[in-house]
Amino acid sequence: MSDVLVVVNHEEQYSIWPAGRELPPGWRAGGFTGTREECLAHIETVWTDMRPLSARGGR
Amino acid sequence: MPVLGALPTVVQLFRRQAASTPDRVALVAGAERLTYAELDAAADRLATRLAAAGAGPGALVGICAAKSAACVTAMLAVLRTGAAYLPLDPGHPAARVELVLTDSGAHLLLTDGDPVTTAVPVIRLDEEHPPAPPFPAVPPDPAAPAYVIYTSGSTGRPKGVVVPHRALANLLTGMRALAGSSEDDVWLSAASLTFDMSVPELYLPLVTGGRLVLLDPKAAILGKRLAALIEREGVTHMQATPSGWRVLLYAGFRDPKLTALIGGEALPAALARELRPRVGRLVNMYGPTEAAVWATSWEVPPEPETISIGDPLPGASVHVVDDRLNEVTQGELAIGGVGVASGYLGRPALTAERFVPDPYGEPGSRLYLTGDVVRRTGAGLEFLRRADTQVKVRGYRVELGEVEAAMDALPGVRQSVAAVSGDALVAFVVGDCPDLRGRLAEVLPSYMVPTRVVPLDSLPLTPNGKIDRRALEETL
Repeated sequence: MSDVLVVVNHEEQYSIWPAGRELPPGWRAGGFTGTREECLAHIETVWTDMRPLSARGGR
Repeated sequence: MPVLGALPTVVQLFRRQAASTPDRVALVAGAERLTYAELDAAADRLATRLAAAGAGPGALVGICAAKSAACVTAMLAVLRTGAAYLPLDPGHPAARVELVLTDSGAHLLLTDGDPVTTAVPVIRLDEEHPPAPPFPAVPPDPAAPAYVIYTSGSTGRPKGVVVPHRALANLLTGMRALAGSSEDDVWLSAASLTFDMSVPELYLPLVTGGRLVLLDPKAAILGKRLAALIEREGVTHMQATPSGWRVLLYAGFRDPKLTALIGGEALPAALARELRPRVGRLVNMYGPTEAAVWATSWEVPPEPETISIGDPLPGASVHVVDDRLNEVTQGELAIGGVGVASGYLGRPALTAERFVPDPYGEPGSRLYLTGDVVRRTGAGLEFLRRADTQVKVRGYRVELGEVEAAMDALPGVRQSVAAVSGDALVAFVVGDCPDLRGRLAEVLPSYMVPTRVVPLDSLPLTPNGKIDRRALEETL
């Protein structure tokens, strides 16, 4: 099973991306690589504020 | 992403419309008629009350009410405060409503009936709210949520789809162009508020100076009564599921002035051929809640042979992809563009799994992976099947896994499988659970309760030891 990368965009939204494939514009590596399940489990713990960055003006 | 913030939100659009056509009728619900000025003022009064109770940017407000003028007022009022709303169906079991309300973390509940919960402050919609000056609405951030709609979840827990203002504004812009909605148009809204098909039909007339006619979803199954209402109110636009349009066809319905939008489940070719000559226009609509209701459309031609879900609406992009997001002719349909939802409320892993980087779109944008397997053809996209066990029951999206989890949680049920047969859900159950359907109706909406229960001694298995769903479905 090929490895997967945790990635983050400008709105601090997390997702996953196939390792070894060039990152799409606007996304950076989130500092974690593993199986798909490991990456999703990692995201479950680190993505604590799911509001898009530009909409975090509220409470 | 400079283009994305440019559309005015529904809050600004409705306010502008009310100022320009104050005396026109905005809304008809039974004997009740409200002008734009009256609806605007009612929304101001309630928004003032809601803001005093803490509604504002970042808050979520549940609305549990029958389809009524009060409920449309409530939606407009919540949005005016900068908060988002969460529709709840008073016809669903109280346990279900409470589960969704708790899961969502809603701060307030608006209701026209007895409150289902004491967990959050409640404001009654049938109370009189004192006159208030125009509410100083703050234009919402385009990325801020407008509404949260819960859909069935495959692991047994429903999930809330968070739809931002820019996705809603984009939907309304696209639908306005597609449907040619104007001041002379009358939209009938018959969909349940918890079904996102209700979103365009409620807002589009109100932001284009047209008229919104409300019908209780339960009354929409009476074909003759529905047909009479369409004629009496001069309805020009209506959305319904294939099952909904069948009800009208059985009643002998014909209206060459009507723009008929059909969606929510796959359109059978036979139904398209039967319905097409009876209406002015027939448009097949496709889209998941996660891409703000409708993402593609197809103008049904006279005598269609095959059915297409067509091409993307303005602001949407569609890609047929393999599991590494490479474009292919046949594969999973992925939707990008302005309409893509923010994600699933409080579900980071699930969101990250289904909302993935869009290598074809604006920098940093995302694609929603629909789970629908489609094929590109000359006439647009053709829906083939689901990649998982999600099914449609009378237009409602049901994850069979959620029905199975609810059955497995009942005492006496050892194993269960749910399957769909035509318009009906069927349960295969190993074990002994008296009144299984009654027990399920206490926790699940009625469309998720199997209409037939088949008791089995054991479930058939595939050669590699998994439950053989196909073998069970073939017995139906």
